[in-house]
Amino acid sequence: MALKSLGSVALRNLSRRRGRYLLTASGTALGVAVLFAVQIMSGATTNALDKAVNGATGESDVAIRPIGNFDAALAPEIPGKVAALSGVEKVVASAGFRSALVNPKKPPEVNARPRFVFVIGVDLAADREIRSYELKAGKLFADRADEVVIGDHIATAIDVVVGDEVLVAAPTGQAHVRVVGVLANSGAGNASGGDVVYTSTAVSQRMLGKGAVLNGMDVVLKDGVDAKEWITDHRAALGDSVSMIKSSEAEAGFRSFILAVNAALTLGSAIAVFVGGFLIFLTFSLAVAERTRTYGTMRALGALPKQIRGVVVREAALLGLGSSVIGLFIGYALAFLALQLVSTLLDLRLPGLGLPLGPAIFSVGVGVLVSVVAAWLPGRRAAALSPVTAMRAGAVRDETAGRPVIGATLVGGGIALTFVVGQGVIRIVPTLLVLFGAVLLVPIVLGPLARLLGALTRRLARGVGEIAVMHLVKERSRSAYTLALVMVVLSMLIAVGTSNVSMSDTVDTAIERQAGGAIQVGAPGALDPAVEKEVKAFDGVKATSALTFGLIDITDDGAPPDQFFTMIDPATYFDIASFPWIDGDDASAKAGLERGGAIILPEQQAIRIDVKRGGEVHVRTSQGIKPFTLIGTYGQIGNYFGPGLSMKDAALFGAGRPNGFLLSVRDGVDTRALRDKMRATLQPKYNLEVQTSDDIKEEAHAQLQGFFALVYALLFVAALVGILGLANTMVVSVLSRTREVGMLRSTGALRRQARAMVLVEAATLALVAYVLSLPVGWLLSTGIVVSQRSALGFTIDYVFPWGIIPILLIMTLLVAAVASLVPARRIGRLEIVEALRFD
Amino acid sequence: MGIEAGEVVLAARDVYKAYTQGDSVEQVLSGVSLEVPRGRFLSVMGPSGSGKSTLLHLLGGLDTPDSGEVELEGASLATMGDDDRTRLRRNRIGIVYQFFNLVPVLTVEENVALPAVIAGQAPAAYATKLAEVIEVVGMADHKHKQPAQLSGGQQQRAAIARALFIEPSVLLADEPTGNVDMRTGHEILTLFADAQRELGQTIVMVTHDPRSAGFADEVLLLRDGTVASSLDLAKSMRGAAKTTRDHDNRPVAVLKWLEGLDSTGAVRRVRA
Repeated sequence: MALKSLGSVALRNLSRRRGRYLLTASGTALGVAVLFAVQIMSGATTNALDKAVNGATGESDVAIRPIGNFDAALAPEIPGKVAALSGVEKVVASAGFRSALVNPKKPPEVNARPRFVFVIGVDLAADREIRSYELKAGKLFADRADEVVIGDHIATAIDVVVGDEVLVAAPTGQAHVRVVGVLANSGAGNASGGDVVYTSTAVSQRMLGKGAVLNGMDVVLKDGVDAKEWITDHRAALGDSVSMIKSSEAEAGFRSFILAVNAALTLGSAIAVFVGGFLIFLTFSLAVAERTRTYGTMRALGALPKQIRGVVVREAALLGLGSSVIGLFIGYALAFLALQLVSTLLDLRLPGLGLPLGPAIFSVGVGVLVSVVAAWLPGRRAAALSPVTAMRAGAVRDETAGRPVIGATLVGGGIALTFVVGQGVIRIVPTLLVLFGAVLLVPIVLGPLARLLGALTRRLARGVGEIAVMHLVKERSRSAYTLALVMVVLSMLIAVGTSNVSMSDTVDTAIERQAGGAIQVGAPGALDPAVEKEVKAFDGVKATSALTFGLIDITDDGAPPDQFFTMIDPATYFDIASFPWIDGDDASAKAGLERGGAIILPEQQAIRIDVKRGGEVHVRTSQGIKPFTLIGTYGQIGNYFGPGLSMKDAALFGAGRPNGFLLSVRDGVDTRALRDKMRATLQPKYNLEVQTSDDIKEEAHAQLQGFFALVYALLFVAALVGILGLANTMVVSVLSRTREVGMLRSTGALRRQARAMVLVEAATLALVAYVLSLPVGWLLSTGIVVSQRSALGFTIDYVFPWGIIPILLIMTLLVAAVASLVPARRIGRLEIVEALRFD
Repeated sequence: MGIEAGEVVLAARDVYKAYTQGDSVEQVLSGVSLEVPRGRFLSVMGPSGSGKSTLLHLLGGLDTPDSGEVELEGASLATMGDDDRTRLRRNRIGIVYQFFNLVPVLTVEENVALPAVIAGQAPAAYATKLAEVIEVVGMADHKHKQPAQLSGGQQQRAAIARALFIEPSVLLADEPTGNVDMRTGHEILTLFADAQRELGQTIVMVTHDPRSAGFADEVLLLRDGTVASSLDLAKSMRGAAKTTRDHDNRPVAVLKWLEGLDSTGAVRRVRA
């Protein structure tokens, strides 16, 4: 085949060093695979959320709900007032409540969680004007009949079909209704991820037990009317007993949580791609050094610098393209597995994978771009070669590497900034500066550290180990960036480990304090207050304290009112539970809550709205926006608990019936046994959720570990790429020292000694990376934990993961051993005569 | 270009070149001047470190002099930009190296065609010329082989074919026989001589081997970066027409004289 262009030389180069490029390609493929998988997952979760929100809102522009407690109802005059407002096209009202659905033929196991659903009572004729009801099976319900249509997801989950009877856990007790239709996965059937039950308003109101009340309104505005402006204009006309939000902003809290998770995973995948790019940079730096004479010849023959750079960059682009395409297949498989996990963790019904063309093009694009960028510098170096210098014999030279002044400046500046910058995401900046600076400093510290640690590792190859260590000390620049690669991966592991341990620790503290160390009883919706007596009657229960939940609108932060609050009874709560206080204490909190007009906030939220203890927080109540005194801040995990209010202020939030109870037990009582007894008795009656604080901890830990499993999986990929990088460097190292190995063998070094030399070099490199990763990982971890506080809104106490330090050491040595396998095998097979002749 | 046979193709005028390494400066060439007429075969000899290869690099536009002038067919290489000099090398200068410098991933045929590939020419445009030049150097049977599959002599033939392929104004050779055995060296030098005789090829060859230098028309002796002496070998050979010749039909007396050129005394004797 005739050589058509210099681009073909790139292709030939790739096919010549197949093994090495395969190693490099694996790194890029893994990076792209992770990126692709995360893109698919990110798209799937956002899509699922959009569908859920869109299904629920239909054509609605503005959603109007009663302020406060979930059990609150709209004032009777509100629907009429809304309909009379200017700009309104249509108004649809509903009466709904959170509940649980049970198939009486197949009741859930005693220890299984109830299947939560939203029951929505609608005027079907009116509602169909703004929401589409597509049936998968059966028909729509008749007005006032005990009939329901249910989402496909819940129908499948509890295994009911059209014609079956189901039990709805309503505030007035268990209600028997018949399933007359199952909705398709579109429109109204998508609301709440398919965990939805529709019935007529009258039936829903009967189950709610509060008379002919309505608690939801969807407003369709006339064309050209802006929802936000309309809310601002008509806020005053409706009074303060309602919250008004743009329908598309529903679930904003959950959406921002999903966004934060997706952002974390995207960051993780970016790291994996970056590490892959780093490997390409290493490979091409070495390739350029190896092919110095070839490029020199081409320059002498008349190739322009840009043509030489083109050969290198084209080679990288080809490698990037090939490996990215392979990465797509791996990523598709990864996404399939990850979606199952995310679906369980987020309790989201996720769509099928389909053919994600956009993410595929994006991921391949990123893979190729990263490859080209990574090869740009080596390409530039090749182009800048003087033909005379390049063609001199022994062209493989050790590139000068490291930017000690810049590196030291970045590290110093990063450390200094750590003490200067305030809270917030910006806190990660000094950490990144330190990380980048450390990478640039690696070539400088490699020599002394290799000499020091080499005293240990050289024992692995008696007699010749010293030579391997000396190579690192003297020719340190070639290995320095490989080492930096391993160091970055190890530092990330330490940082993520810290984040994991810190979050687990905080979860434990939060739950122990707030769940009272005993039992929590929760209802899907509101409960008859009489249930508390029934709960208290159980043998072993010492005390109970009622809780109510709802949505709070703190006007200081201007965010949509979608945050959960917990209302406690100060008279009984502090006998059973407490708060993981950041600033505050039980006694003053109890006193403040008993006076009323007081609020307890998660620490990060107080920071966000810049209010300190004793300051005022403005909350929208049924009697207007009122100032509440901040009487304490506590460390919150997830959306557990939220702002704390007092039952004294129940009227301001429309709170009446409780949503759950906290229980303390008498000394010596087996909490688990009591829980089981309560479950057996209460669950069939009220679909109550009965959990010990250990159950809640386990559940929280399982969720936490689920997310960390994803992050660890990403890091595992990065670690794999690190191994590939180390193996790659060792292969080149062996190749460039073929003659030396031949000479050593000819003077009596055994094959196994030659092999052990590779291990010594790899182990020394890995150990230096390990030692460097400890301070860098520590700095990185403090930055990550602090930035997580503001990104997730959690208060996380910093806990260093001492336990993983020895594990990392073992891992590091294993990595060195694995990375040495291929080059050691190669060195072991070398024939002396051939090795001595090697050019 | 309007340059007739006998006209100067390549010239160096008062060329200086020094290399700096750390604190020390090594003056390699100090005022070297030479002229190579079209069709001439010039051999540059001299001991190690005398500046032979540096001079060749300057003549080939691979490097630039610190001062002085290098001209190829009237064009000044010293004042040319890097890209222009690169294009000039691509189109008008053929270079043969001691270590062959073939691209290992390409076949003989592809290596020879490399200048055309670099220039972006379509294979069809140069296919005939490529086949001819490969035939001329006797590598037709090996044209699909890669350098690693060839002997040193075969690799050098391929390198010569690559240099001749562009029909260069001048062919520069840096110790072309330095890395092959004596017999192969002889074959290579014969190739050069044939190229000069049959194609009128102008050749400048750097060598430390007097026998190789004996193939040239003129020998230039470099010492300590200056031209110590030059000898018009063609004229000498004509003068010694009736003396004993070796098996290459070269005057034994001249060869002996050349062999004696590697010492200061020998040069003085020649001058005397």
